[in-house]
Amino acid sequence: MKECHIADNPLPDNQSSIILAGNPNVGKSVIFQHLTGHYVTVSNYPGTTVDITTGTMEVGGKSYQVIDTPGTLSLIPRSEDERVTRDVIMSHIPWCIIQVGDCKNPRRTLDLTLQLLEMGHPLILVLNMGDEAQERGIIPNPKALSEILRIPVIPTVAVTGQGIPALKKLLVNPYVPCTSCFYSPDIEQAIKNISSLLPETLASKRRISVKLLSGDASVKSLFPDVFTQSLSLNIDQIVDALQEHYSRPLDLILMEERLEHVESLTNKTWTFPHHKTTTWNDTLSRWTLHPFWGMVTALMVLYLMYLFVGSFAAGTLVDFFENTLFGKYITPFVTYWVKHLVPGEFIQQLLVGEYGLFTMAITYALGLILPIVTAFFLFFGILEDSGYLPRLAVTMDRIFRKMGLNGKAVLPMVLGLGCDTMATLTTRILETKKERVITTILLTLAIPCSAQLGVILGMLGGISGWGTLIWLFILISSMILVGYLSSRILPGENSSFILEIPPFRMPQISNLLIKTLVRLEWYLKEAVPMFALATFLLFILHWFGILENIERLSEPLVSSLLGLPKETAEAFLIGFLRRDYGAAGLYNIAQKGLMTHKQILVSLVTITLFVPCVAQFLVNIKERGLKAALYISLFVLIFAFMAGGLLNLLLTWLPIPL
Amino acid sequence: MTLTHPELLKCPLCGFQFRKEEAEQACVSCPLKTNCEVICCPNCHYQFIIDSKILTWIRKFKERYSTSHENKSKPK
Ligand SMILES: Nc1nc2c(ncn2[C@@H]2O[C@H](COP(=O)(O)OP(=O)(O)O)[C@@H](O)[C@H]2O)c(=O)[nH]1
Repeated sequence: MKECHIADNPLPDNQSSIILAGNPNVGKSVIFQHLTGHYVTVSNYPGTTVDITTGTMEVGGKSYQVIDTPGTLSLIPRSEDERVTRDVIMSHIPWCIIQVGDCKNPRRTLDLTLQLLEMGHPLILVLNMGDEAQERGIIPNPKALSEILRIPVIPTVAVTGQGIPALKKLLVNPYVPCTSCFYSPDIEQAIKNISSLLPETLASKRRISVKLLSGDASVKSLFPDVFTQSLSLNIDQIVDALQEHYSRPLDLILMEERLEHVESLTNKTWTFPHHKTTTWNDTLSRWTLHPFWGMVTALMVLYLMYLFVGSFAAGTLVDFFENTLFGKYITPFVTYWVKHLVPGEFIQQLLVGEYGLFTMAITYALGLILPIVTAFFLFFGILEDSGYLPRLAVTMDRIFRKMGLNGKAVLPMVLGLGCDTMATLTTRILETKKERVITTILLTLAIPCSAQLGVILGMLGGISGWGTLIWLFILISSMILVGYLSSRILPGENSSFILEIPPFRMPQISNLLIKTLVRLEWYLKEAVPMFALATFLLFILHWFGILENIERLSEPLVSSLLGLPKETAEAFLIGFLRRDYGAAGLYNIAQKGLMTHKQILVSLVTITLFVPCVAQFLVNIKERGLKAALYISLFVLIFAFMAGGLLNLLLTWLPIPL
Repeated sequence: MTLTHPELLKCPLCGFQFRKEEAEQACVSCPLKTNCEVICCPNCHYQFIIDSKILTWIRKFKERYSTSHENKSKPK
């Protein structure tokens, strides 16, 4: 822009304005410059920090003001930019609206077109970036689109000026488009009913009606004199009557129907390249969804995960973090300074003693669990971003279903973060109390948080493959149990729950890192306070000599039933607060060489089936009452110890090489 | 492939599109809800995280940096 000045003039409200609208980065500014020449004004839109560019152009001997609005994705505003665009479009009666669209991205473009059409103003659709689209083999059919939408559609290449003269010619005589009714009949009827209540003088009645149906009351404030109390009441009645037919909010239904229409329009008027290069994608896709090969792939992927999390992270990384970084440098350093600077034996011990907040909670969290969980989340992010996750779910669901089980009850839980607390809350949708209680028990018992799963998986890396298989067998059996019982409890839920299989994609490193960071933040925020609390309890118990008594008392359980060293009682104790912390305690004991492989396996199975965490217990109380929550926890505890004891017995009798 | 709408969240597992408030109905009675960014898909119950404090902070910082930069270079 050669000349540019900033002013605070309000936009004129008459029919001599031409509004440019469009998604971000579609070439609007370039088109704007073609239309206006170089003389432009940049001004703040009243009451905002958003800059609006205006300029003038001559059409048929008359001068028009051209307004360039900020790029927007939809007329339902989410940012200040989008609100300004909406306000400019809703509050002006323009000579004409020019929508600039990227013809590489028809869906985005047409979504906005449909919303602009509802305004009932003259509309011209410009399909820009024609050169780039052609390069990629994306070919629009402007003529067909124009016939369907009954508005002028012009292909352009803004950077070379191609199509601009045709656009200018059309501006001489723009015409109001016919409304296209694409919503379901009952919605269309409601739109008509609302429109008929609105005064004749109001422009874009259809758009306003649609917005009112969507529950967007902000249009009312744009026209405060129109919407009297009695009119609002009448409108609300129509909206409520329509909402009764649908279980989801109306605005979502409207949006879905609009997107469906966009989809069908796109299919009718755009041609996309049949890339030969994507066939490997298709082949891979078919392979991973194949009943047999899909299973083989799934096993391979799980094995890779075991190698990455169990061997690499839990072995190499943890060794470095815990033994070298913390063991050699950080811990001695902190201990030294605490001993020198902090007065009093009690506080010193509280911070850096055997059960110190730093020496235990922080070291476990950052030195031991952090590397494992990071690796786990990273691997998981790859599964998610590559598009493999839904395929894995389909494969496993297929196996479940062959066995007559309900995969939907379990899979999303195991695959996601698997926060049991949240799962308990979603059981609210179940009908009877019995169903809810059983589902809660099952979730508490059998499905570990995925982060906890990561920690446990990491520990399994230390023992043989046989051990891992046995643990896996027990985990899968418990999943099958949940799947079986829930298929009994939740009849009719056996439909496939995957709606859409995305194509395979190369995961983007930046996205992957962000995802991992976000999950880690969540995890640490949830876990570390609990670790600190558990450590503090342990410290107090130890300080007053109660810990030894507890260990002695639990000896029959820990040593006789499970066949474990008595130190593991501590791990189980802190496992009450969070079972991954318990698992970390076990890991530490194992690292000191105090446990055989058999003992590690037994302890891991027990902790896997253990109560998940205090938060879960609290939610259980809240949702089911204190008594039920206590019973559930007691049941889960007994079950976990019984299963561990049984495994201990079996491993003693059977000659399994661990 | 269907259009992913900017106003909606999309479940990475099942592809269901929904609004955040729909998923939050489950959280009403959760004692941990104030600090929790986990979303549970209403269709399949897959759990994922949509935002983080650290990330929002970084974004804000970047935004502030870039706007202060722009303001400086703008002719008054
Ligand atoms: N290849 C190609 N690039 C274009 C075309 N129109 C605009 N661009 C480029 O696309 C980028 C975004 O354009 P701009 O006008 O700033 O988009 P706006 O955000 O919609 O105003 C700029 O780098 C333009 O040079 C076109 O027809 N073909």
